[in-house]
Amino acid sequence: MIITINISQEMRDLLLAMNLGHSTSHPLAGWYVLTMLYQDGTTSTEPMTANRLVQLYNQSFREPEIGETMMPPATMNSLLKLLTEQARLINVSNRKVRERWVSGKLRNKETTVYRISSRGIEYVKMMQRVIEAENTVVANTARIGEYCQLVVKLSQRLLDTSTTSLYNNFDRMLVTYDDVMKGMRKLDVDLHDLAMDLAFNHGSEAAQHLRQMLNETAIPAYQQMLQQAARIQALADNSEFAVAVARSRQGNGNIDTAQAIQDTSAMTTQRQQTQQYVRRQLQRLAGSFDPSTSGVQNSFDSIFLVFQTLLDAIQLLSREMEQYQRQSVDLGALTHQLDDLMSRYQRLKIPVALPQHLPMDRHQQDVLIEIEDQELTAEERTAKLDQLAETERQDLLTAGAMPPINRQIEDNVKMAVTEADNPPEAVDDAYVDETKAALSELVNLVMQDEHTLVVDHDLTFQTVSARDALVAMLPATYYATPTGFNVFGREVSTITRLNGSHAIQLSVVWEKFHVMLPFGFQAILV
Amino acid sequence: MATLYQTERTIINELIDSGVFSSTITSETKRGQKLAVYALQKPATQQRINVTFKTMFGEAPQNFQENLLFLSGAKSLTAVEIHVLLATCKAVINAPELQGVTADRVIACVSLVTTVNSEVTEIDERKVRKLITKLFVDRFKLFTVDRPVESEEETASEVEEYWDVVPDFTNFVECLVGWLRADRTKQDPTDIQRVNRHLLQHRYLDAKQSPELWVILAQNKIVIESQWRDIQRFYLECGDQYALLLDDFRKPSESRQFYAAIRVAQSLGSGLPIAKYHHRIKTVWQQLYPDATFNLSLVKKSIIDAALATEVNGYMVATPLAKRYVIPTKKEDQEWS
Repeated sequence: MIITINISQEMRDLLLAMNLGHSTSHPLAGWYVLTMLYQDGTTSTEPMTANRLVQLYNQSFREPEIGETMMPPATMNSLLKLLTEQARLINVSNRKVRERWVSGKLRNKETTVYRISSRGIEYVKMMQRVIEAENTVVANTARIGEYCQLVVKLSQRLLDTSTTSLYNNFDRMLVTYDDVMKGMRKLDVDLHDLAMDLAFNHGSEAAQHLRQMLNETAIPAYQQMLQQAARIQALADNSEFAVAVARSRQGNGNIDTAQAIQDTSAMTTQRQQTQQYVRRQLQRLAGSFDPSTSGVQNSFDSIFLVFQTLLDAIQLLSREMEQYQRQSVDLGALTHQLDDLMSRYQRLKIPVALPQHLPMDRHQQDVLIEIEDQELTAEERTAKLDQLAETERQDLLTAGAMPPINRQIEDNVKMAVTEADNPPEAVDDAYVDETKAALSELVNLVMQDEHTLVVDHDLTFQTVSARDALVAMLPATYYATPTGFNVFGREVSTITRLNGSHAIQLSVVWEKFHVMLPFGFQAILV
Repeated sequence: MATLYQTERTIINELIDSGVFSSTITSETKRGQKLAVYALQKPATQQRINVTFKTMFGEAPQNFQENLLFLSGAKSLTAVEIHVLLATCKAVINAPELQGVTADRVIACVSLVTTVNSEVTEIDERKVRKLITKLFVDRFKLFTVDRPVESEEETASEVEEYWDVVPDFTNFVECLVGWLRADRTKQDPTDIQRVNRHLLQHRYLDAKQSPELWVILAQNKIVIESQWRDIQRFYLECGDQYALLLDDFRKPSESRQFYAAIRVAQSLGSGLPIAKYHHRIKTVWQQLYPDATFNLSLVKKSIIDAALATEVNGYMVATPLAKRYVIPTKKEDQEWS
C-alpha cells in the first residue's frame, strides 16, 4: 500500500524544529513513522515490524528532492528505540510472524511489532491542532455556559455511575474548561495587539465593539466561572467523587476490551488510574480558583491572572477611547496657527502672571481663640466661624475706622544654660559590706559541723547575702553532680534533698516577703 | 450670583493661581482635584464658572475640552517672552516623545532648549531655558523637572535633566491659540468689572493713583464685596484712601525683612529720592536689628511684595498700605494699640 501524505510547510517547520527521533540525515523520519503506525498499524495485512517500516519509509516518505538517502535498517532501529523508550509514543510487543523464506517455506519467527500508543495518538493529533490553533482557539464565551452547566450537573448529590455518562460529563467539563482558558489567553494576546493598533490607527468602531463585548459578555462570563469555584472545590475535596467517576467509566456503554472480557485485574488497575486522574484534574481546576498568592503563582491557569489581564485590557481600551476622543486636536492645523501667530509675535500681548495677593492679617484672633476654647460641636463651630467671617467682612468695608495692625517685634532671647539648670543628683544608698556578718550568720544557723550544712526548718536572717546564698544552693539539688555551686567560696561536693520535708520559708528580718523553698536539703561542703 | 460649590471654588482658585486648569487625572491626583475635574464635565458647573468670571471680570476663561485658561494681568509679557512661549508650544506639541498614548511625555531639557533657540535667535540658550522655566514650570505649572536616578558610580557622568509634560498640553495650546485669536476689542467692561480687574491685577486700589475707580468702588462697595465673597478666599478691605484684597490662603509674614520693610515705608514721608533709598533701608535695619546680617535685596523684595512703597517720578513713596501696621518697640509705649 502506498501512502502519500502531504504536510504543510508550517507543519514541516515545526517538526524540524522539534527533531523527533534525533536523526540528522532523516529529520522527519520520526514523524513519518508515527504517521504510518497511526494510519494502518493494526489493520494492515502485514505486521509492522522494523523491516516493514524501513520498506515503507524508503518507498513513500523519503524525500530525494532534498537529498535524503535511503534509510538503512540500523537507523530505523535506533529511531524506533528512541520513540519507544524515551518518547513512549510507540508500544513494542513480541509477536510470532509468519514469513516466507528464500527456500520457499513459510516459517514462524518472533519479531518485535510496533504499535502506536495512546500517547502517540494524542501527539499526532495535537501537532495538527497546534498548526491550526489560529482557527481552533476561539475566544468563545458561550462555552462558559456549558461549563457551568456541567459543573452543576456533576455537583449533584446522587450520581449515576451505572453508565459512562458521568465520566463523559467530567471529561467534557475538563475540555470546556481548557477551551475557555485557551480562549481567554488568546483574547488577552489579541487585545494587546488591538490596543497597539488603536494608538496609531483610530479604529474607533472596532474599539467600541470590542469594549462592548468585554463589558457585556466576557466580564459576566467570568463572574459565572468564579461562581463555580465553590463547587469545584467541593468536588475536589469529595473523595467519593473520584471513585464514582472511575466506576462510571466502566459502566454501560464502555467499549473497552478489558471490560468485555471481564479482566478484573486490568479493570481494577484502570479504575485506580482513573481515580487518580480525576483527582489530579480536579486539583488542577481547584488550583486555578485559589485566591491565595501562592495559589495564583503555582497554578497554570489561575483564573485571577486571566481576569486581571482582562481588566487591564478594559482599562487600556477605555483610556484609548478617551484619548481618541480627546485626540480631535489636529496637530497640523495647530502648528500652522502657531506659525501664523509667531510671525506677528511683536504685536501680540499676553498678560503677565497675576501677582500674589497680600495675606489676610485682619482676623480677629481673640474671638477665634475664644471660639476654639469653647467646646462646641462641629456644626456649632462652623456656624460661629461663619458668623465671625461675616462680621469681619462687614467691618473691613469700613477699615478706615479700624486700628492699625499691631505687629510686635519680639526679641530673640538666647537661652544660656547654666549649672543651676542641672537636675538634682539622687542620693544613693550607702554600700555596706556585710560578707563577714553573713558568713558568721550562716555558720551559726545552718552549719552543723565544719562540712555539713542542713536546711530543714524555717529560718530568719539578718543579712540578705546569707539568705541569697542558701537560695542559690537550691538548684544544685536537681543535678547529679553539683560542681560549680559554692557557698561563699566553698564548693559543694554533694547535696541531697531531705525527703518528707515541707516547704521551707526563708525571710530576712526587714523585708516584707519571704522565699519559699519547696523542700529542705542537706549539703556537704568541701 | 448662585452659591458656588467647593469644586467650583477649587477650579477658580487654580485659575487665579496659575491661569490654567487641566483635566488630567493620574494615580497621584488628589481627591479634591479629581472631584473638580469630574464636576467640570457637567455643563451646569461650566456655566456657573463662566457666569462668575463674566460678572466679576467681564471675561470668561477659555475652554477647550474641559481645560481652562484664564489670562489676566497688569501688563503684558515682553515680545521675547511671547516668542519663547509660542516657540516652545510648537516644539512640544510636535515632539516625538509626546505622540501616542503610551508615550513617555518626558522631554530632555537640552534638546528642547536647542530647538526653541533655533527659532528665537535673539537670546542665548541660558536665557531661553530661564524663560521656559519661568513660564511653564513656575507660572502655568505644565512642566515638572525630573531626572533619572543617578547611579552610584564614582566616575563623572553628565546629569541629564528632563521636563515632564502634562498630558493635556495640546489642549492648553489650543486654549492659548484660541485666546490669542479671539477678538477682544469689542469687550467693554462695566465699571464694577474694571474695579474687580484692577483689584485682581494690582492687588490694591490707591485712591490717589486711580481716582476714577475709587469713586466707583466707594459707591458699589457692598456689591463688589458680595461678589468676592462667593469665592470665599478674598476679603475686601476698604480703608479711607485705599481698597485691598486680602488672601485668606496666605499666612502673614513674620520675617525680619517684613518688619524692616514696614518701618522703611513708614519713614518715607512724602517721598524719598531713589538715591537715598538704599541708605535709608540700611539705617532702619540697623536700628531694628543691630546684630543680624543685612541683605538689601531681600528687604527691597519684601517692600515690593507687600506693596508698601512704589516709585513715583524718581521718588519712593509709601502706599496707603504702609499705614496699616504699627510696630511698637520695647522702648515706645503702646499708645495706639
